[in-house]
Amino acid sequence: MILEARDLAKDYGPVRALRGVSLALERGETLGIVGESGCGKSTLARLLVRLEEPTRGRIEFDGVDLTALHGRRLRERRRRIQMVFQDPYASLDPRQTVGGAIAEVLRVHDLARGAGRVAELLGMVGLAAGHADRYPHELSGGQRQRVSVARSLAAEPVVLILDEPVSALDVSVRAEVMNLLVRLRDELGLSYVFISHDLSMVRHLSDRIAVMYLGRVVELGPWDAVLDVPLHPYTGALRDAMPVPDPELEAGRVDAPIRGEVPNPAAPPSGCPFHPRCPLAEEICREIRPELLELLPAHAAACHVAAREVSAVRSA
Amino acid sequence: MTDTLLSVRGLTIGVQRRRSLQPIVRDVSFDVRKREAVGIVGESGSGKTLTMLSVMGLLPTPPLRVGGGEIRFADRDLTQMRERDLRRVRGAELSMIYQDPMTSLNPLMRVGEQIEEVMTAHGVPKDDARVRTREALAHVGIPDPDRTARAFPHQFSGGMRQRVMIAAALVLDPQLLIADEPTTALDVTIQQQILALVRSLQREHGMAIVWITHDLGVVARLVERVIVMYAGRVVEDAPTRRLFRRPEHPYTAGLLASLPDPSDRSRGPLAQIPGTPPDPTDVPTGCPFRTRCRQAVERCALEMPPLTDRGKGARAACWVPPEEWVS
Repeated sequence: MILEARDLAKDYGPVRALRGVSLALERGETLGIVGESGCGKSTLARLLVRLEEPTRGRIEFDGVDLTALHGRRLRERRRRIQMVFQDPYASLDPRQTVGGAIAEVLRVHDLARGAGRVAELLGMVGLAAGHADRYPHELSGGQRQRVSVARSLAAEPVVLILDEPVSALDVSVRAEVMNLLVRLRDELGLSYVFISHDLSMVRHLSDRIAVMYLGRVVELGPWDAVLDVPLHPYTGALRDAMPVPDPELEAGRVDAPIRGEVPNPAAPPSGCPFHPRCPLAEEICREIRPELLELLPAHAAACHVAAREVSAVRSA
Repeated sequence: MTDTLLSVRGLTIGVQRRRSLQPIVRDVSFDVRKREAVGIVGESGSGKTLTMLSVMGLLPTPPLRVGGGEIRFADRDLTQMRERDLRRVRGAELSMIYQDPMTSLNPLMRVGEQIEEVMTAHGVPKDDARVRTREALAHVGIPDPDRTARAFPHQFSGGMRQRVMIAAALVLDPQLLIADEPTTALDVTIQQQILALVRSLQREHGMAIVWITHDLGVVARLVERVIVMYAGRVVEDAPTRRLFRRPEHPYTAGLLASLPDPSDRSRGPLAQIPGTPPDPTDVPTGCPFRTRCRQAVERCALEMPPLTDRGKGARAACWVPPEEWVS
């Protein structure tokens, strides 16, 4: 276990953005996190890199509780968990050259600097050493995202938190950034938390997938099990809502969108947070919140109906 | 053909420089038939939005200007029409919705009044307009239309705001609805609701739709025909299934190949298109895609290929036919 969140929660005033999330990331693993706005996936990312303090819960990195560390010892550990943001334009300083931006990270962390290391990092993300003298506005969107990745790698991380890393890119350059992420993971043995609203990209990259809704994980399991035979009705709804680039498949679909919108996180529904939108909701769903339970091997869901059906199948 | 609702021919749009017009949309031609759902697919800078803004007569002029070509809508050339006459067409026969509803909704005005205003500006009596506004809001799935009509745009969620904008756009029963990525900023379950709503409204009203998007999934779900734009040009125009099954342009083929295949279990590397889309004011000579194209031959640098008929309703602009492509 390289990174583990235990019962993490974060409140912003009355808004309970994250309501108790426990997730573990294995070494070399990619954990995909999907969900819609307000589900808490970006809050989770910000807590994992310690951009913000959790209201409750612990984050363990390589067995050490990060939330208990301070000062230099925290900095030393924290450096090993880096984040790549959605919009490389916003995360790079427009007045700083690419080389300057990377050298800054090396300096802050007291790591070996010099043009050689900068060139090496640029090479790792498929850019030429000459790019070090360029400014962000002189680069394309794909190149800027490569620079953001190089900058994250400069801190010599073992975990990368990728928050929608290709969503802001042109469609024709997404593939190269996705391929780069796969290559770096395999070559450097990195572990990823890959956050995206795009199920097709999450499917492509993830070993396991966590589905979040209203601040909680509602389903967690192997990528193929979660997407092929989802246990939670929300996962199925999310999968069916996503248009796929195949007109034959799309023509065969029934046009039955789930009703309603994500409820206000400051005033969540009683019982199961998904019940007002759920086609399977029963009396119990309105009253008692289902716990995230391992219903099948390594495959957990928080749903009363799924739990009953799985146990019926098992006892049959 | 009397079946044609919108016919664009040789449309060129440019940025006004001191003495000349720097073209950024070049020689764009396509038709939209009555009741047809068409998608315009392209990346940033492809000219997809500018093309449709010029159809609406809403191109920001200056700095942009239509440099040539014809836009015929219901047998009138919109480029030759006076602003006063165009205003009568806009809203009533032609309507547009946007990615950000706040570009068309006034934040200081109650949504009911805004929809009423669309109607009264086109001569609908006020009392009539009030009743029809309530109906229009109910029709797009807004609960409690009476209360909604008195609310301001900021009091709604993104999805509800899109519904309000759609209600306003359709209240005069236009023949053509132009949609500029109206679901891109929405969550997928809300996008699904809006796509289903638009599809049912289209059938009911018998209107045509031009849906501008970069999302090939949305295109596969919603439209019958796809126009692919690249660097200010139409590079392919084909029925949706035909386009996905047998793309005739290397750019279309490259885009389709670069998407993760939802049924591929091996999850191997994605096919990349080298390079990035060009700056719209600085495109390569000849075919604008040739610098990223694996099929490019010498001729591509010298001459822009014309859109030619490829059979089964498809047209593409490429010198190299798919049979001769290197893999």
